[in-house]
Amino acid sequence: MSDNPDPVLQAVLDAAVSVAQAGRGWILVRTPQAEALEVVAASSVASTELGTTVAVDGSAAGYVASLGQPLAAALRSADQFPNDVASLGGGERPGSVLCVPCEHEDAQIGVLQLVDAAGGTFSFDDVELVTLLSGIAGAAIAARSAATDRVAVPGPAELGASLARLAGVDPAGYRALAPLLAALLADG
Amino acid sequence: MADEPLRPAWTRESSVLRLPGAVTLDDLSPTWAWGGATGAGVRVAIIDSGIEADHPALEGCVEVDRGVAISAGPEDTVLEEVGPHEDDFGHGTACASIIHSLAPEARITSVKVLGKQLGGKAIVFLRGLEWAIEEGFDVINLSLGTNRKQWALAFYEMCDRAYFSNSFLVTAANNVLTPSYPSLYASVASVACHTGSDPYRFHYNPEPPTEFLARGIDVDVAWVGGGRMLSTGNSYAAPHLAGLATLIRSKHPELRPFQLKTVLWATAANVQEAPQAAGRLSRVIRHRTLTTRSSRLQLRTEA
Repeated sequence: MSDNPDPVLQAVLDAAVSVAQAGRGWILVRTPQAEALEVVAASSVASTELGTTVAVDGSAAGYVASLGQPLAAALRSADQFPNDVASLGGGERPGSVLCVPCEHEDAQIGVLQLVDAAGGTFSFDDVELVTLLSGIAGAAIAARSAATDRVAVPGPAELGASLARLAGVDPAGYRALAPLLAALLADG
Repeated sequence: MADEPLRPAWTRESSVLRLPGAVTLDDLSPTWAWGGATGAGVRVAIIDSGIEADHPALEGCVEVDRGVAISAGPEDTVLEEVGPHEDDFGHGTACASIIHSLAPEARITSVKVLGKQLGGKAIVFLRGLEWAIEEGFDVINLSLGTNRKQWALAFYEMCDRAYFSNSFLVTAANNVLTPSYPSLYASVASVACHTGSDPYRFHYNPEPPTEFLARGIDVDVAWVGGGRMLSTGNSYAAPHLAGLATLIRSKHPELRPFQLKTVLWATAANVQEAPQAAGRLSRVIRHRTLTTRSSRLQLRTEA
């Protein structure tokens, strides 16, 4: 969980809030187990939601991530989409919501969500404009996931401990590895 | 007897195909197509997130015990459970409410293919569509799709199967500019939004693959929890056309899917309202009849 939003995602979200004249917005991504969605960017007035996890069930973001199609709706009761629209943003129930999927390589990997259209409801033009921005967000989310999925390089202490363990349990393997490491360290 | 000429095995004498009567293009008007119809006798399948059958807006039109919930099982299998189930999102209920509002006496069945999990959907969609075809539904509303290309052929073949099985398949065009299956196929009626608010008004789109435009903006729909919502999207345009197709099928059950699509084309508002054009088929026929009756052989051109 990070308190620092990705600058690209933040820029995309801010642009979406601006073009659609929304009150607030978020970008959510699917968690690794694909059973929930996590807020990874939030509009400036709602930054306390970073890292919040939203269930698929009962959420507009989950609906869109599952359906793969945008949702533009004016809400008429307090219990519609209780798990995100009504709970994010300090619990104030918005009057309208616009959610579009963020796609990458034919998969929905996130959702861009806006609430409280200035005119009361989000228009079809808003859907199209925000969808364009969600495409950029999808690419940014995919790039972000690729970066975090890379195997972390161990530090010297950790490497030394692993080598000591290897020497104890597999002396032959250690003997094969030691010259290679020595050569790498000499080059480095 | 002289030897009969050899013919391919699939040829048939055209006399055995004599029809008792046929509809002409001149007959095709909204009044002819669905005037007085209620949807009675037509079974509609909604392949979606489920339906909240006891929603007051649906007035008991849902065949609760005959629905099916399909989900992904292990190793690319699917699990099926026939019987009552809930709507996990509200979308299916919304679509059902639109169809019911247009065709109040049609019986609606839920084919649930969307649940609370986010993965493994295309195989479930496909099986849901196959199940609806096997069950012989007259109209199938599919406001969903997949953009995974590896499923394109499977959906293509399934849509052909629906067509030849006499199930009229209505799909929502993708709201975003990426291919979505099966909305791209000729065997389905693909629908997007127009900007109007009349639920009975729809347009023919001369630029396929989306062939029709129906109401889909700011639609007052039923939603889970017994509520309502004002929502926008092509997925609400599809059930509008499905509802009208249901009315047509209830009044003219003999129509095959391609005939039903022709009727929809002919009764589309922009076709009905189009100025008479030179070469328009019905008027050429009428002119030729008039000139024959008057023994004048010259053909008159359209104004």
